[in-house]
Amino acid sequence: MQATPDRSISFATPPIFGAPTSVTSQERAPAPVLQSRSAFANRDILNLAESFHAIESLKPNWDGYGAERILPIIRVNARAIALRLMGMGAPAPEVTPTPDGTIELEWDLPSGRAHLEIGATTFSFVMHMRAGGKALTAGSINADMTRAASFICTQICQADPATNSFTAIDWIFRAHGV
Amino acid sequence: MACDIPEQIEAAERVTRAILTPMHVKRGAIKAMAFRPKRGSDDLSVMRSDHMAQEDVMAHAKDLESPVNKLHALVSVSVGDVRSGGGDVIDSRSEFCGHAHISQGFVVPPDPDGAPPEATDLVLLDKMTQRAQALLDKISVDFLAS
Repeated sequence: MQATPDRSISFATPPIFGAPTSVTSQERAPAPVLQSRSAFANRDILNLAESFHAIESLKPNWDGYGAERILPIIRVNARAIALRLMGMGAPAPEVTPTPDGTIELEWDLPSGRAHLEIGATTFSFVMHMRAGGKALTAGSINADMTRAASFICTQICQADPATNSFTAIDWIFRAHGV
Repeated sequence: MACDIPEQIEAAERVTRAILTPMHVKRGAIKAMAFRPKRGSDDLSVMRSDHMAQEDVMAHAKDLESPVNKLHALVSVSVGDVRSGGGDVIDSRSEFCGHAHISQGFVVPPDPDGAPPEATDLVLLDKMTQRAQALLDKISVDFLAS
């Protein structure tokens, strides 16, 4: 019986809040298929990767009205938090830089609209429920994000966490240089 | 040269904001972030386009271009719609004749470096976001060929 080549790709879990890990040749292998996600969801993830890539190239005054540049640490934070939440079952967010130099992740969901703003060291989250009411949380990325991620996920996560492949999403991000 | 545009701004008047980044456009629509001022300020620059020649509106919009941004769209909204959402439009002709700014009547304090957002800041920031979001249903957009 002929041995089947091992096409699996193993990743060390990248640090959620730290410097990005280097990309090895092994990680440049063909992208793993997101077995449980639709092509539409894959496209969302690609769009997300492209958004982060576009943000990387923004210069000061990128909006023509004096917007602050987006510091690399903020992009790293936002990428990591988006990845973390998507790994927990959140849909791909819409990513928008703010004029203050922070990055906003936004989800427009049947249950409501959520905004998560991420800075160099802090974050703030607001979810407006369509049924009325809102949920808010804020804090330090290093000290409070683990607790906050669970809270945020209770508001926005839709998929079974098992259907979101953390490593596959991370691979797509890396393949797009973000 | 004297500015012959009336200082009082009527509700029926439309004002126009130039969009200079693709970051504020999503699949053919304008994002709410295009209407969010920087923290620490309450000025969102617009032009009183009903009182200006179209080429002057375009010229002032083009003046905002730089090597890092290009004019993508002109977004118009009625003053009445801004006011019904709780904001106002204020003439600021010291910039140039026809310049005005949308004011929401409150300022989100700047974020002190490294400090977690204060609860009051978060509420104000959310209020600013909601005001910007509400405007999206009222605007008309002219996308410009690049």
